[in-house]
Amino acid sequence: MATKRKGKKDDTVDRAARNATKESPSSATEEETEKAIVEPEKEGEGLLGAVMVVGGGVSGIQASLDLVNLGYKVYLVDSGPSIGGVMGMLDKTFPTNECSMCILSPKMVEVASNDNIEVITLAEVEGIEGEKGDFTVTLKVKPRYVDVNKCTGCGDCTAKCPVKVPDPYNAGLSFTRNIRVPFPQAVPGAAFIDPLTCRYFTKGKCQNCVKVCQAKAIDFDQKEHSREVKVGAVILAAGFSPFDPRLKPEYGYGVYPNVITSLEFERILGANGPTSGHLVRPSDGKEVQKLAFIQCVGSRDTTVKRDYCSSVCCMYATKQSLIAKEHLPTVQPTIFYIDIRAYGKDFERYYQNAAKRQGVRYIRGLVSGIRERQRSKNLLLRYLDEKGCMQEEEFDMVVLSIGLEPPRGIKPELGISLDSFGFIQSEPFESFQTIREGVMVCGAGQEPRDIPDSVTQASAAAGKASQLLHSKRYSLLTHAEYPPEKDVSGEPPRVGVIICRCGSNIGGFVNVPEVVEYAKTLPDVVFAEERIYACSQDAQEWIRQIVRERNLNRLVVASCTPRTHQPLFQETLRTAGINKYLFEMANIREHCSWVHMQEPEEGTRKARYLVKMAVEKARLLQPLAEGESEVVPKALVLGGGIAGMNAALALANSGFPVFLVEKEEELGGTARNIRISQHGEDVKIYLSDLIDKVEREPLITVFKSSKLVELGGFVGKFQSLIRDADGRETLLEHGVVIVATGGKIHQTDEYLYGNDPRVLTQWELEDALSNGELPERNIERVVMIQCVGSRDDEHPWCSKVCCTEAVKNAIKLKESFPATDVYILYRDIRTYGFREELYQRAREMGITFVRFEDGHKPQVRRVGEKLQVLVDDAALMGERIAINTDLLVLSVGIMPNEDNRELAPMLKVPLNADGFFLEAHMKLRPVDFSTDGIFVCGLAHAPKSIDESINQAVAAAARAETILSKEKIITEGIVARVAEELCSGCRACVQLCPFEAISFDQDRKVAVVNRSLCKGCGTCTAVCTAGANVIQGFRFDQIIKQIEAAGKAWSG
Amino acid sequence: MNKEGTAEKKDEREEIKILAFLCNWCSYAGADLAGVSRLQYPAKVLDVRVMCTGTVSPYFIIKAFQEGIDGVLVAGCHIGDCHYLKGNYMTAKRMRFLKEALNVFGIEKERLRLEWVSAAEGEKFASVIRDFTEQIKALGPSPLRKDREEVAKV
Amino acid sequence: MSDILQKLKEIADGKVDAFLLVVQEDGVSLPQLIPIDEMDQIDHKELSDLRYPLVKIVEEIQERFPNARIGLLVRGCEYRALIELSKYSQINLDKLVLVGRACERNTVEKCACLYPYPYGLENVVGEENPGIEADPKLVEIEGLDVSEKLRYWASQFEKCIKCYGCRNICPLCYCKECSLENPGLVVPGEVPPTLPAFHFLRALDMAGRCVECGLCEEVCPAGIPLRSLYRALNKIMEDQFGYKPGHNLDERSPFIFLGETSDVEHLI
Repeated sequence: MATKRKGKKDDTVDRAARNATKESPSSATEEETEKAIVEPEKEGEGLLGAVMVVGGGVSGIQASLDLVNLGYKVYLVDSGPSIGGVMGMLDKTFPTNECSMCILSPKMVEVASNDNIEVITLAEVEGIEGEKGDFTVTLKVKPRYVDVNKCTGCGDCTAKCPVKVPDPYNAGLSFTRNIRVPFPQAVPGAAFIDPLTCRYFTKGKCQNCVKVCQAKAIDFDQKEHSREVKVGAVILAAGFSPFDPRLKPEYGYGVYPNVITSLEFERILGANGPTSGHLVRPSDGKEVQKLAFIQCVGSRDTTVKRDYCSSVCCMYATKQSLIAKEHLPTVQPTIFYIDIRAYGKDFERYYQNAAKRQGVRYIRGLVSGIRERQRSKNLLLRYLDEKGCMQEEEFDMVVLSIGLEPPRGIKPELGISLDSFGFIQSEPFESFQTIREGVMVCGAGQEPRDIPDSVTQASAAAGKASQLLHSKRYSLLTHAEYPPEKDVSGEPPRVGVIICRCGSNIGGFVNVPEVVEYAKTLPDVVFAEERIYACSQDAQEWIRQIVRERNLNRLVVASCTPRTHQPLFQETLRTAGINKYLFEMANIREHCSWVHMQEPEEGTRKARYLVKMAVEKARLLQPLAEGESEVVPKALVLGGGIAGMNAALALANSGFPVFLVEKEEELGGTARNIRISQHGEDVKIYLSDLIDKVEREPLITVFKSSKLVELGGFVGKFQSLIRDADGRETLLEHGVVIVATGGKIHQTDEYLYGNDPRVLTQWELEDALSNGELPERNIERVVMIQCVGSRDDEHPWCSKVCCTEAVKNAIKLKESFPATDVYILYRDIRTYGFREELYQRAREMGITFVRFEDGHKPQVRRVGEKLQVLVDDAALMGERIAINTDLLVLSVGIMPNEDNRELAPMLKVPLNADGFFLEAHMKLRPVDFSTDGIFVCGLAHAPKSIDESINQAVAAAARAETILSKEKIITEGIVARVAEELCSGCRACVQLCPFEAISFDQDRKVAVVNRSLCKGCGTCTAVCTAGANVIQGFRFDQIIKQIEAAGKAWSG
Repeated sequence: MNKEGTAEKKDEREEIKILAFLCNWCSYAGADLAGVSRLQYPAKVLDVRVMCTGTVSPYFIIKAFQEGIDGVLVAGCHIGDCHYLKGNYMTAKRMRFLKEALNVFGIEKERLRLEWVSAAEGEKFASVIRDFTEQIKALGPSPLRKDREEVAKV
Repeated sequence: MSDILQKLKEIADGKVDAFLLVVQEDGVSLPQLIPIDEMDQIDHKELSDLRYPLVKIVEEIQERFPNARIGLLVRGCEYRALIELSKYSQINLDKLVLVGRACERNTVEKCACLYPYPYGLENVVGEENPGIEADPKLVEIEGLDVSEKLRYWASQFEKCIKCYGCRNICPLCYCKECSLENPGLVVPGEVPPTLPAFHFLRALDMAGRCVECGLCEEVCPAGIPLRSLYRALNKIMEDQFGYKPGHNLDERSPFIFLGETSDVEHLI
C-alpha cells in the first residue's frame, strides 16, 4: 500500500479537475482519470510501462539504465546535444581520484546501445498532463540539423567548418568549430549545428558541411517541433547550474584572466582538456606555482541569496589541489574556507591526507577582495587570517569554488513545486518523490549533492516508478527477433573481411584497396571488400547478404573502435543467423589512420597487420553461448531499522516477497533514538507507521530476535539459514540479499559521561526535549561538544549527522527555553546542503559557537557542585575559557556494528578500514557489492541521516529488483571456464578471482567457474601454469596467434 | 620526438616492431582518444586488446620476444581504476618481476614497459608510444630476433 | 644412521600408518613405504644419503590415500617443498609426521645450498651446518653485462637436448599439462630450443615457487646451471615482494593473490 498522507486526495482531485478543463487528447484519458480518483489503487489499469527521464547527467543515466533493467521503456531527454552532464566534464572524482570519464563512458555506451532507451537531445519539457501512471509529456525539440541515424561521427564536417566557437565542453577555454560532435565520448555520437553561430544561418551561404558529408547526414530543413510522449512516470534529473561568479564582483571573475571557476579548472586538469592537463594559467600560459581556492563562492552566502551549502565544493577543491600536485609537484595549493565539510564516506581521511601529508594548505578565513598586479597579472588576495589579522598574499592563479544552483528549465508549471531557491521540492522522508505523484526527482536538482548520492537517489527514483508501474513491466519493451543460429562448429573457417573507408577518415590516409588485396591473401579469407561506411544502415543489410551468399562463418570488420561499434556489427551478424561471437574488429581508424596521418605508407602497412592479427584471431573464434540461471523472486533483508524496513516495503510494493530479519526483539533500529527529523517531522510517528506497514504487509515475513548464520548459493538463488533466540532454524531461498544491519551509537566514557547525570548524549537530550523531561530546575546554560568519537585517531571518520543533530536540538532548546544560553563547541560545522539554514537560524537565535582546534579537545571538570567546561577558543587565538554549565551534551558519533566482522565473511563482501561495509564502487555503484545480488543501505554502509538511509534503502531495493524482475539471469558469453582435465586443484585462481566466481569442487578436486558471477576479466587465466583456466573470446591460443601475426609484421 | 626517417629505405630486419597489450576499459580507450584527438605517433606499434591487463600472462611477453618483437608495452587502468577492481594489481606485480627477470636473462629490461593510461589520457598514450618507440630504436632490434640467432648462439 | 631411525620411530609412534624412507639395499637407493605393522623392519634398514625426489612420491600417495598418515625424514629443501606445495593444495601437511634432517657439510657444499636446515621443524636430527654465503655461479653471472648474460645463457641452453629431466624431477612441477609442451609456446621437436622459449618460460614459472633443491641441475645431462637461474629469479621475488618460497607457511607467492593497495603501492 502506498503511503497516503492527509490532504493528498484533495490535491489529486484538484489536479484532475484542472486537467479536465484542459483539452485532453482523448476522452479515454478523462475516463481513466476519473477511475483513478475513485479507485486509485486498482492495479494495472490505465498504466503505461514507460518512464521519461529528464536530464542526461549521471543521475539521469543511472535512472534510465535501472528503469530499462526493471522492464520499462525509457525516454531520456536532455536539453543539450549529448548526455553526460557535468560528470562528463570532470577530470577526476573524490575521494578515490578516479578518472571520471573512464567510469561514466561505459554507462553512456550502455545507454546508446540499448534499444529500449530513446535518447532525445536538444529537447525541453513543456508540460506534463495527466495522472500518475498515464502522463502525456509535451517536449519542445530543437533541430540538430544533422540526422543522428546517418551521421557516423567521422568529423569531416568539423574539419571544413569555417566558424570557430568557444568549446563549451572545455568550459570555453578552447575553441572548436560550430558543427561538431560535442565531445569524443558523446552519446549520441553525432554532430550538431548551433544555428546561432552557423555561417549558413547567419550569412545565408556556406554549407561546407553538406559538401563534405559523405553520409549525407546534414539536413538544414529540420525545424523546431513539439512532440508528445505518453509515459507512466517522469523522473526529473535536471542537475544543477553552476553559480555565476560575476555576482561576486569582489573576486574579479571575468575581469582578471587568472581568476577562473572550479569547473574551468577541472578542464585544465583534464588530460583531455584544453591544456592536456598542464597546469598553466590563462593570461600567459605560465606554469602555476601559487594556486588559491576560494570556497563558498555562491554558497552559504545571504548577500547573493544562496543561503545553502553546495555540499561538494570542499571536497572538489581538495581533490583539485591533490590532482594539481600530481600534475605539477611544485604547485602550492591554498584553500580559503569557512568550514571544511568532509562529511561523506572516506572524505575526512581524504581531507586529512591532503592537509597533513600532501601539503595542501588550508586557511580558515574568507577572502574579502582580489586585486590584480598590472604587469605580472598575479593576484593579491586580502583575507582575515585565523588570528583575526588582515593579510595580503600573492597568487599566480585563483580558482573560485563555485556553488551549485538550481537547474534551469524546470518550471513549477510541470505540477511540481520549487523551494525558495528554485530546487525541486520533495516529500519529507522521501527526497526522491516530488509533490506530484508519479513524478520523481533525483540528483543535484533537488538539493546540492555529490555523484554517489545522486546515483543513489536516481536508483531510488527508478524504484519508486517501478512500485507504481510494476504491473506493466515489460509491456512496452521491444525484443529483437532473430533467425535461428546456424551451427558452424564442424565447418572450416570462412572469414569475410570488410574494410571501412569511413569517408575519408580511413580512406584518406590508408590505402584501403591495398589492404583489401592483402586481406584476400590471408588464410581462410574467402571474401574481402571495402565499404564507404561499414556502420551505415544500408551496409548492415549488405553485410547480412554477403554472409548468406558467401556462406561466411567468421566476420572481420576493419574500421573504428570495437568499444563503440562492436555491438552494432555483432547484432548484424546475429541477424544473419551467425553467432555474434564469431566476430572480430581491427581498429584501423583510432589506432591507425588518425594517428599516422603524416605517414600514409607506414599507416597502410600497419593497417595490413592489424587486419592480419584480427583474421588470425577470427580463424580460432568459436561460437559462445550466453549463460542462463534461475531467479528465485524473493529477497532477504538483513536488519529491521529504517533502511531495512524501507527496502523491504519497496520490494513488497513492487510485488516481491521479502524475508526481513532483525536481531533485536523489535523493529526500528537506531532511529528509535530520534524524535524529530532535521525538517521538523516527528520521527516517532513515522517510525511507528512504518513498523505498522511492514508488519501488516502480507508479502513481508518478519523474523525477530533472529540472525543469519549461513549463506550459500549466488545471485538469483541464495540459501540462507536463519536462527532465532531459541535456536530455531529456518532455511530460506531467495534471489538477492540486502544488507541493512545498521550501525550503532558511540558509547563514550569521556567528559564524565556516566559519572554525572548532567552529562547527556545528544540523543538523550532529544528524547528529554520531546518528552518534556528536562530536569526540573532552571537550566541557565547548556554546552554541547561535537565530534565525540568522530574525527579522532581511533575513529578517523566524520559521523555526518552530529552537527545537524546538535544545531537542531540547540534550536529546539532555545525555542523551549529562550533564556537558556546554548554553546556548541566544534571544529567544523558540517551542516551541508539545506541543513545550512538550521545553522544560520541557530546563529540568529543567539546560540554561541565556539571553535577549538584539532588536538585541543575541551576538558570537563566538576568545580564544587558546578560542571565546568574548559575550551581553547580558536577565535581568541587559543585562549582557554571556562564555561560553567547546567547540562553538558555530547554529540557522540556513529560506529560500525561489531556484527559486521562476522557477517562480512559470511556474505563474502568486504569492509572498509573503519569497519563499515565497502560498496562495489564508491562513485557509481554506491549500494551494490562487487558480489552480484548483494546490496547495502543505511548505516551499515556509513553514517548518514534518515533521509539518506531511506534513499539508499529504496535504491538498494530497486537495484535488487533489477534481478528479481527477471525470470532468468542472462550472462555474457565472454566468461572464464576451467578445463577440468587440466586442473590440478591448486586453487590459485580461486584465491585470485576478484568476484569470488571460482570455487573449488571438493569431490572432483577441480576449480569451477560460476558463470553467473564471472565478469570475464581473465585474471585467472594468467595464473594457471597448466592453462586450465580459459577466458572465452580471448583464449590463449587466439592471443598467441595475434602475437605471431604481429611478429611477422613489416616482413611477411 | 625525432622525425621518422622515411627517406632512407632501411633493411626490414633493422626496423623495430612494438607490441602493445591494452586493457579494454582504460588504455584501449585512451588510445582511442589519442586517435579522436588526432595525436600523431610512430606507426611501429601493433596492439592486442585484452579485457584486463591482469590477463597478460608472462608467457605472452616471452612469446612476443620469441616472435621477434623488439619492445612490449602493457598498458592498463591506474591502480584503483580497474574495471575488475584489482586485476591490475596482478599486472603491477607481474610486470615489476618480469622486468627484473628480463635483466637476469640478458634482455634489456627497457624492452618491457608498463604504463597506466586512463580513458582520458589520449595525450599520455601518444607520448608513451613516441617515447617508447625512440627508446626501442635506440636499443636497436631485439637480440633475440631469429635472424640474429648467430649473435645469441655464439 | 640407526639412531636417526630410532628417533623417527619414537616421534612417529602411534601417529602414522606408514613410513616413507629412501633406503639403501645392495648398494642401490630406493624409496620404500613401510607400513606401521612392519615397523620392526626399520631396525634393519640402512638409510640412504642420496637426495631423492621424495616429495613427488608423497604427493602421489596422498592423492591415492588421502587419509594415510605418513612419517618421513626431510631435509631443508624437502621441507620447503612440502610447505610450498601445501600452499597449492598439492600436499596435506596435517597427515604428515616430519622429522628433519640437517644436511652434512659435504652435501651443503655439493648443493651450494643456502638453507641446509629444515627451519621451523620441531624435531631435527643432526647438527646445523651453515649454508653457503652466496651461489658462486650466480655471482659470476650477475657480474656480466646484459648482452653477455644473454650470450652466457644461449651458450648454456645450446647444450639442451630437451629431455625434460629438469621438469620431471622438480618437486614443484605438478601441472597436468606443461607449458613446455604447448606448441604455441615451444616449437615441437626443435632441439636445442631457441631462446627465449623453453628455459626462460620454465624459469618464470619457477619464480616464487622454486625451493632451490637443485635436483634439476643435478639431473641435467647437459650440466646447465638451472639452479642458479631459478635462484636469480627467486632473488627478485625476495627483493621486490619479500617472498621466499617454502620459508613460511603463512605467506603466499604474490602471484597467487590480489592483495591490498598497500601490496602494490611500491610498484607504481
